[in-house]
Amino acid sequence: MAQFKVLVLGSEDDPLEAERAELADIDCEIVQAKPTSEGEAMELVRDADAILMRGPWGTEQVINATQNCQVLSVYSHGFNHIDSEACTEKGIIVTNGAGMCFEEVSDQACAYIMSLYRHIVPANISVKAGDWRGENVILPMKPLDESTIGIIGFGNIGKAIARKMSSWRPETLVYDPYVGPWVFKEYGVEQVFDLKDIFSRSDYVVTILPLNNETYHMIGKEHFDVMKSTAYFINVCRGAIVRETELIDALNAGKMRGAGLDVFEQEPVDPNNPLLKMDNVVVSPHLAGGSTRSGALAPHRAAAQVAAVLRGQWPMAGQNPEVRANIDLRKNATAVAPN
Amino acid sequence: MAQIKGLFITASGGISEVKEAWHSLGGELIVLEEPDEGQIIEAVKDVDVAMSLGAAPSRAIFEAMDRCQGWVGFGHGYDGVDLDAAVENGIILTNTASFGTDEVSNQAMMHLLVCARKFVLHDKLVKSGVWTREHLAPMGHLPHQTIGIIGTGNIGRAVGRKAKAFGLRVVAYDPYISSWDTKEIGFEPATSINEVCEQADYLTLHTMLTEETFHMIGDQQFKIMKPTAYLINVSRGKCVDEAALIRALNDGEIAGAGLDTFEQEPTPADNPLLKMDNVSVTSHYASYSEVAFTRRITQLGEEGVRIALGQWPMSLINPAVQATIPARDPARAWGTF
Repeated sequence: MAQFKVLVLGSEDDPLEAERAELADIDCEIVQAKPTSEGEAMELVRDADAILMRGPWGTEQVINATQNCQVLSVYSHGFNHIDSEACTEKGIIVTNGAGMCFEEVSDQACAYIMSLYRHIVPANISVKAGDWRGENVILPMKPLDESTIGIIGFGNIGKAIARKMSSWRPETLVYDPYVGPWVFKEYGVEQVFDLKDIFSRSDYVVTILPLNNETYHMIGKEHFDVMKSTAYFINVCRGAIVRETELIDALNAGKMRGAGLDVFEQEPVDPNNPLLKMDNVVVSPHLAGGSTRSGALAPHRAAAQVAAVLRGQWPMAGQNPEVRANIDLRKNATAVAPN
Repeated sequence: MAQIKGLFITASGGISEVKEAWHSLGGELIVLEEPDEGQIIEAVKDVDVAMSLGAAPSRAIFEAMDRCQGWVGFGHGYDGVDLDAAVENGIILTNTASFGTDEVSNQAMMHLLVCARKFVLHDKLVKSGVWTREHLAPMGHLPHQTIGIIGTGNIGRAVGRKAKAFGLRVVAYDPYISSWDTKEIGFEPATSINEVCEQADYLTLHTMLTEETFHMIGDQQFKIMKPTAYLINVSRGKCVDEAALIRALNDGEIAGAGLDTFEQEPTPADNPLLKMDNVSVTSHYASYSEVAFTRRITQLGEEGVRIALGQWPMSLINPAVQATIPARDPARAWGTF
């Protein structure tokens, strides 16, 4: 019998090639199962030593039904669908697919900035409708090297946005209370200590944060009220970090010039959502993380985290560091070859 | 905000900077100037955190720390601190990482350029009245060359960024950095120290001194390095097997070295390295500038406040302690709490 049981929860016909490759040196059995109810999921997880999770099974009940589980790894970047607190109490390390799509998401944010800056969407509509160079489409248009970009959240993606946009030489402001001052310095950006200052000073505000108790509905009226009327708001992380009704009100009231949204509070977005009726709002269907590469990387990343934990290490992408107080000492995470 | 109380131990001033950080948040600060161990043991019993711009903590001090949750040491290196004793007693350890990132990375680049341009030899020749170009070759063209970086923390990253500005290709090895972080930094990742040694025209070290990094560059590495390559060391002398370095230089296994640190400091006046015209030396001052040294003291106070308030510090150096004490709040940037 294998030493460990690794459960892929939420799929039944996955080829599991990436998972097997990452777990090749671990004496484990990999099984997959797609539960149809929470009760069924609770049965499945009982004897699992590690869980790779697709779908909505990270509830308190399911987590509490585990008996041997050391790690719960999700295939996505976001882990807001997992009850991390329950995992921490149970001594389960939560990991995600960190790094699998930071280039893609940062590209999407930059694409929104460029698209809004160059008015590409309204110009496209206008030209195709026979209105060649309507004045209202083109001006005012402030060049990026005279503009200010405000980034909220300075993890890998936020950093990549700053790095990529730097070749246009904007002024860049960053808010992230959990990042050391030296990181801002290394990236040559200005650290801002008050969220409102980002909104009042920026021409483009980009949010790139995990959704958690602290960031849920963190952005709303008080921030939109202080924006420049010529500024744009761009959200490529999670819809629920914004109070969406207040965003709609702010756009209706002309508090900002427009928005670029890859994410919404409810997804798929309601076709009657007023945001979809606004010409100054550019949208996409939560695809910022997608590319031919990131899709293939996701199972590798998720399984590599599990492999690290089963080897007795910390994973590189641990997301509930407070769990360390509830479990035994582990060795530092190390990158085993380029992972 | 809860009343917090800190202990500041100093042998070299800094009192006003630390007081400023503490008083700005209403904390109380006890100052001990050049105390002995017994005085420290007494003082730590009644404070939330100890900050030291002098003495390194002993096991006996850690054992006396019941109320006291952490020890903030100055500088970067923490060789010489009893890490096991700290973890056993649930003591959070932090340094003042990053205070001198610019200075240390500049020192590395200075040594690199001094080596690349054969400055030591020519400075000596010109000043002794010899004007000649006969010792120039071989001299590399930086955009055709590779810098190999071991350790991509703040300093290693800054060195790589600056090296790129000179057109150097950057290859780096750091087993504790994730692949995506390496990618974001934009260096080519290597999978071993030896792989870096083989490729580097300039090998530069930016690691802590630990059991793992002690003598990590020695005979084996010098033998696989290019005969035209230079070793740059502004980290800790003991990361390099100095006897092996002297032998490698004498045997022409590498072309030269730029050193800010030595196995023994001050280095003895008869150290053969000091007689070599292909070796540039400085006296372990890579992190110094007035701004950096003031910053390091301010940061000492700030990290102390974080620990006293129940946060993790920004620069935790013994993560193993996380398994021995209750969960804490994440560190927040100064100015946001």
